[in-house]
Amino acid sequence: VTPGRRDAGLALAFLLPAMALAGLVILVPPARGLGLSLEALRVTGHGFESRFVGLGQFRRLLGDALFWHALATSLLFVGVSVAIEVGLGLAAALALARNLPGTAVFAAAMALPYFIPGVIIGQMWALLLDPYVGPVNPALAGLGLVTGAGPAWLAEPRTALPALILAECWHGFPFFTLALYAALQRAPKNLLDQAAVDGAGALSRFATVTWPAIRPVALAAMVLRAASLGASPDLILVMTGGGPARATLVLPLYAFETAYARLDFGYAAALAVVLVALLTLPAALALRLPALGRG
Amino acid sequence: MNLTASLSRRSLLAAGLTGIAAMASQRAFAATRLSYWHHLTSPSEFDGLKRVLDCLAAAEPDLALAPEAIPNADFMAKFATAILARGGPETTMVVSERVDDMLALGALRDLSPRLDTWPGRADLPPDRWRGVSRTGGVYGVPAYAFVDWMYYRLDWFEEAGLDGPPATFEAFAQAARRLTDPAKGRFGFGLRGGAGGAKYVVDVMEAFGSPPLRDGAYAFDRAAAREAVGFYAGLFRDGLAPPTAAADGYLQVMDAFRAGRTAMVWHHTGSLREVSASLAPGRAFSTAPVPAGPKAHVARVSYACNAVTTRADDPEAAWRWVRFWAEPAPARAFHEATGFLPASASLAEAVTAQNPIYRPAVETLAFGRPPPAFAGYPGWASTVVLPAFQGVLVGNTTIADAVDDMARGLDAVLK
Repeated sequence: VTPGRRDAGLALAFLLPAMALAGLVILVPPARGLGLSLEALRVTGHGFESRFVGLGQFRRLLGDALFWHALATSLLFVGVSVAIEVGLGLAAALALARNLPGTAVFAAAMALPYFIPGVIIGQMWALLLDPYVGPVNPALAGLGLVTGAGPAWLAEPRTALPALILAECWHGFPFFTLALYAALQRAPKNLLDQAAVDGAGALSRFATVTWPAIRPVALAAMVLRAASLGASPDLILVMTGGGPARATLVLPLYAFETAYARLDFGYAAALAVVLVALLTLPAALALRLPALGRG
Repeated sequence: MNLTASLSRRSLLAAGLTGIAAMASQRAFAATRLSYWHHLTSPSEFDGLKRVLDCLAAAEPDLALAPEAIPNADFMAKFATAILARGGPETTMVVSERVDDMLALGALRDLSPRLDTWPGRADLPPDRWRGVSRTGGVYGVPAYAFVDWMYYRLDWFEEAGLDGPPATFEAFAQAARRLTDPAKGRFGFGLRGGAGGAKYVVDVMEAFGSPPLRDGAYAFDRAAAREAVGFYAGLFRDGLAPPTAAADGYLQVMDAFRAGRTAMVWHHTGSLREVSASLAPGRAFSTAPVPAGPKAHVARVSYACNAVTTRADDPEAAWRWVRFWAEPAPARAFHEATGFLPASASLAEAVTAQNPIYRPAVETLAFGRPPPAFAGYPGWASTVVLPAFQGVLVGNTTIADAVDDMARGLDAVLK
């Protein structure tokens, strides 16, 4: 045995316990979830049913209108929220990057919503939007935009999802602000100056110099935020519970209620498997993007 | 000094034996620690539990309870997860709607052999046990009651010249119409169409002659259910309930009543303390039985019970705790803190005789019925009935389609 091989063997022996522990923690829960998705594991009128059904739960899912509805709502909620958040975050980051007096204090204040738990954000926005006790409707009435008590934002299907997106954007845009502000520090100042000397406008300087510099961070942040929004329905659970009339039912919430209200654990596991696959896909695609690879 | 020389084999043995004896004596005198999951939420309920635990500490010093509060909406999620993972509490609070689901999970112990020799049972009439009795087994000990009733603004009724609280749905709708005054920001009824609202939809359907089950057999009558949903949603569509009704849960409907935005609201005896803190009982508001429907007078009487789970390592100690709450001293302490009627017949009689605001609850005890209880009921109510009803409220679906959804959902549960 050569010394190199002996060292590698020794290193492996030392690494093995940590690798086994990491494997246990990382791989066992998803494997268990995947196993559950192949079973009919649920409470029925006749007791607790537990049997292997193979891909039966996934076939059931294809014909489940509620699944498709929840999927479409999820895509809308995540897509619109991320688009607005990245826009707001970028605007705020560009403003902060001008390093005006008080920038540090302003940045800290702006970051605050991101560190408030989603459950509290949900309660807070539910109160703000309440037509009887919240300040939003009186403010809109003051501007002449609504009459009477104003809309019942969370009680109408047309307005419930936009209201949730508003609350989620307020919560999430500082994430983009912080990430993009840090990325902007890497934008080559000399190139920006040269472009300005050459007569390039602000938009042109942003498109040709700033954006290419921050693009890898922006894409990574978008993927992370989309995964985070797509997987955790805590704010929706608090503000609307998926209602009214399922107008805000997103996929993780549907999986949650399938497991814990209907006690249909096998089908809920199948929904969760699909959700994980959907959340992993954009991350995998983004990692293959050349821009991100270079970053 | 040499350590091995100072520690002879004999002294080491003596030290070991002393240690084992000390541990054994500590174990002998240590209180038995029991985990207990409950879904009490309000400050008054927590105060009530604290008083019960104080009584327990005085009466049973060798029992130490480790209570854990789980929000009611998440209770079954946490409980089912814990039981499936072979964990969970040794004792738990249980309401009749959840008994079947918990039994299907194999989570509850039959207490009937112990109940046969427990003298305290004599003060708990047979109706107290209905919610926790299944095929010969008894799976909990009743602690306190939920008696459905209605709160109404006595001052507004007098102002509008209404004689008294409505006794029927028809009179109820008329009163709601009379008391609705958009100019004053007043609505006749605080309709709960959000979280927890399914219970009232199911109750109204039953009052129109369409219970989900009758004597264990399918009894859902679509025509009667359509009539019921039409009546109940009509209260909202006619503007007699706040426009937020489709999203209003407990907090919103009770806040609206206490803040003077609604004239009537349906709930149970457990909110009396809370309402009394904002409005003067007997002057600003009073209580009445829930109005009767055209086919049945449906008001639920159910009991919060305490149960021993199959996770209990010491079932005897767990049994001593779950029966304790039903005894006079803790039951009175909890009632004094919360206003909930105790399960104990003698105590319930004593407290209702002292306070006339409880009279409608005593009336309801005579005709009230237990809530529907079958495996899958809570899931059907919250994930099928409520969204379908909300669809009618917001105009997304027709009454007929909503009722068809409910029927299909019920079929799936009972299949």
